[in-house]
Amino acid sequence: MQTIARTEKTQASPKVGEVKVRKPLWRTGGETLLASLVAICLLETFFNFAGIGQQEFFEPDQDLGARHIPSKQVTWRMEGLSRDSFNSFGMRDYERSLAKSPGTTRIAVLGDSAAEGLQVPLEDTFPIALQNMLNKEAKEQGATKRFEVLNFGCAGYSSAQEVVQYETQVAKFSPDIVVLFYNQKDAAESVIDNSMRAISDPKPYCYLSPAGELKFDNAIMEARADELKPDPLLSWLRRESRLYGVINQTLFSLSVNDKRFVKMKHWLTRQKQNRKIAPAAYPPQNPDLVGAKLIERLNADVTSSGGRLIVMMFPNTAGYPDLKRQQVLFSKLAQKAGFGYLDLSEPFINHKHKQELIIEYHFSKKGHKFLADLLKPYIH
Amino acid sequence: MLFNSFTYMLFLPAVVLIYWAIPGRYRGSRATLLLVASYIFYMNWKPAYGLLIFALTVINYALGLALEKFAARKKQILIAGLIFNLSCLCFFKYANFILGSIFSGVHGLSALFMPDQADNWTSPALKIILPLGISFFTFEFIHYIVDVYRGSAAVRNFRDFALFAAFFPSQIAGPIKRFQDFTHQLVEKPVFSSANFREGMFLILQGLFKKIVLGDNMGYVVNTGFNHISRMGFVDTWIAVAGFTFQIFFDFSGYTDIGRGSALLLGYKVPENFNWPFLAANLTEFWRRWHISLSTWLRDYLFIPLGGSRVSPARARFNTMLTMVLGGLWHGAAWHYVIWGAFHGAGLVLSKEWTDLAARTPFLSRLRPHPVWHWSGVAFTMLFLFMAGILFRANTIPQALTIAHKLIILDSGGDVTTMFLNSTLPVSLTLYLLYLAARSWLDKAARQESLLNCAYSAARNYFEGSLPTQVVVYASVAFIILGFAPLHVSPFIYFQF
Repeated sequence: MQTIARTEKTQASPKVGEVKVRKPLWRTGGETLLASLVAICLLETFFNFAGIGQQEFFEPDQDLGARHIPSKQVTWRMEGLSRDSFNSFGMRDYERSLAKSPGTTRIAVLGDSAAEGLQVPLEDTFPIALQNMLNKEAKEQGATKRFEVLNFGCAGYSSAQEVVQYETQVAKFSPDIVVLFYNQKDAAESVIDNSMRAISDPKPYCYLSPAGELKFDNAIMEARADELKPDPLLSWLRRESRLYGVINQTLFSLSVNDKRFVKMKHWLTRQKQNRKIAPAAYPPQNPDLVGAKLIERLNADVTSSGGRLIVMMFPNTAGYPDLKRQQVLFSKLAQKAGFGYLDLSEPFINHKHKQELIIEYHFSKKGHKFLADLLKPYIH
Repeated sequence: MLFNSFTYMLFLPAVVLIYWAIPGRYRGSRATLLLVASYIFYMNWKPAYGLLIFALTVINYALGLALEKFAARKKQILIAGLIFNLSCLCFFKYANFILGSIFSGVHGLSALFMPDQADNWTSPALKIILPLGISFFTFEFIHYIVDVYRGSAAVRNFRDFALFAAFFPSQIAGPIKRFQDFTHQLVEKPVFSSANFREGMFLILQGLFKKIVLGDNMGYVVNTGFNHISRMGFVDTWIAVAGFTFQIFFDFSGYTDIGRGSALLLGYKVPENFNWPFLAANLTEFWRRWHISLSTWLRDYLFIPLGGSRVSPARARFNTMLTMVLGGLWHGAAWHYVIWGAFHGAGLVLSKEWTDLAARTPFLSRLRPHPVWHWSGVAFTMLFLFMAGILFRANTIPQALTIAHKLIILDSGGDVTTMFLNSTLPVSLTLYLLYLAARSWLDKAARQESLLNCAYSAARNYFEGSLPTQVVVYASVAFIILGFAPLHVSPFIYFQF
């Protein structure tokens, strides 16, 4: 240490008469560029090895507002841990073909983060667990038929997005059974309040016309179409760069933790927030009724393609009043419209080790396994 | 304002820029700027408490001058000053603890004699918010008036004294400064030094890494364990208990590094607070390496005035116990802190007895130079710290006992272990250990004439001469910290003290 201190002192004080030569600008620029390039390469490699900056997995979509980035490697640490890739269709699933092979029963799962299951490794998510169980059982019985359970779950999706997703993407896979994993806020997130129009995410919203018909309100997506346009550079950064992921993760963390940052962000983006979006030409909506209509529409879509819909209700272990209301409404609707209805509340509440089924907000490995166990007899 | 907050990341560069933009001949203006910045920093949390620190500063400044002026009555002035400072600390920090303890005692007695009426009693509590850093700046004030009483010259310049008390890099959680060391830096004309700047940046980044990457992530694992004690198995309990000891080190030493680094960017030096504490081979050595500014304060203003160790062995043991119990109480107004202090006190007494015994016994003295002796001491000290950590972290004594029991029962569990393995900690701890190993290796290499030393010196010279490289390296380390940061920001543990 003493040697270093001496060296420092000698360098800090130039000798008398010594002229300090200023580096030419091109050299400073070159050094900066070179050092930055080396640092970026090293950081990207290190982050890739350590699984850092890989929680960025959405890209804009002109139909759905946002969707999973196809083939994106994701390391999820916010709750639980998983480290695997979306398939080339952007599904949290193994690689799948669009065409269904003969003798295969296809089950498509729609839902939000609960179905997506980033909190556990892919092989432990309930769609994969269910597929393995059904195939094992079929094999034991000597049957030739196979089951494929396709996971279309995507964090934050509302019922409106799930209907659009079915119509634009899922139907192409010709599923025989569609499981809609309904979560508490799926209906509420499908409608939009007039006061929120300027700041809400651009995605499909719904309303009921005076005649009670389901209509899509795409005004926000149209007004913010520039944000949904594919941007090749951003798209590449989202897919390939862990550093970009770290920056976005930091901005998200700051917006959760720091009021001053939120204020500053609001100030910087005030122009965007003040953009003119046409007010809704319809009265405030009842989310439960809109949700019911969306399920009806999905049921009509699925049955018209020769499939069968099952609505699986998220376990209401906390006794949320919204979800309780929707449980009653949708079970009646199921009887009337003839789709399957499975409420997970009771089995989860009565489970001996119910605390072990949930990590914080999402299912643990045991929770996913339990879900698959519950769903299997229902599929039969 | 938290050192690990977005606001501080804007505040510090702004202060540093304005500070160095003021021409050197206006030394006073720079100090005034720092004083204003320090009050902004403090009042950002609760503006009213800016008045408290100001009032305490004015009174202690006056006490210092009075101690000098009225030499004949300086003992009375000192006693008045001590009572005043300790009363403030007691009111804000211990009022509810004292009330609660009295209530518990009276309630316990009443329950014996009037069981029906005692059930309806509710514990009294005053609505007091603990001012941030009060334990630290009160100790600085006490040190000041005691030293002036002992003959040091009082600070004449009020602004300098106010800055000593409020200096933002060490205001909230120390290190507890000595006014002689600090005020002489105010007298000297501060000159911008690139070496100081580099050292400051290095300390800030190292501190942020310790706090955010290691301490906060460790905190999640530890909290999961301590919040669900019944679900913890054998391995879980060991991870949670050891994790807490390391969490508090990373958290507090991280804070100190950021504080020292911030001070260096402004051309000031604040004392070191940690010196590889987990390499201590006994508890006495540990307290020379851990929270150095507090342990030296306790030594100089409590232990030595009580008689220190130059008294009868029994009295020396009593002095050690009392110092550590009060040191425990300084940390927090709760009985488990008192017991934690007593536990450390007993540990120090036993450690001293053992060292004396080892020196007296020929067989043991032959073993002492052996590395196994040293490393056994390190392991035993570490184990002691884990046990003491349980008392520090547990909310109640029964909870601490349950955790201690779980350390020896071979229960299955797994939540905490899974959480630890799933977190970024295995990678970040490896990274930190590699960094420590590289630093110590390079320090050794720098003292020898070797090819490695030449290469290291060349790289160092290049780094020091190339600002772009420095900026890129700092930014890269910042990115690593951000990449490993947990979603939620946690305050520093020592802020509550």
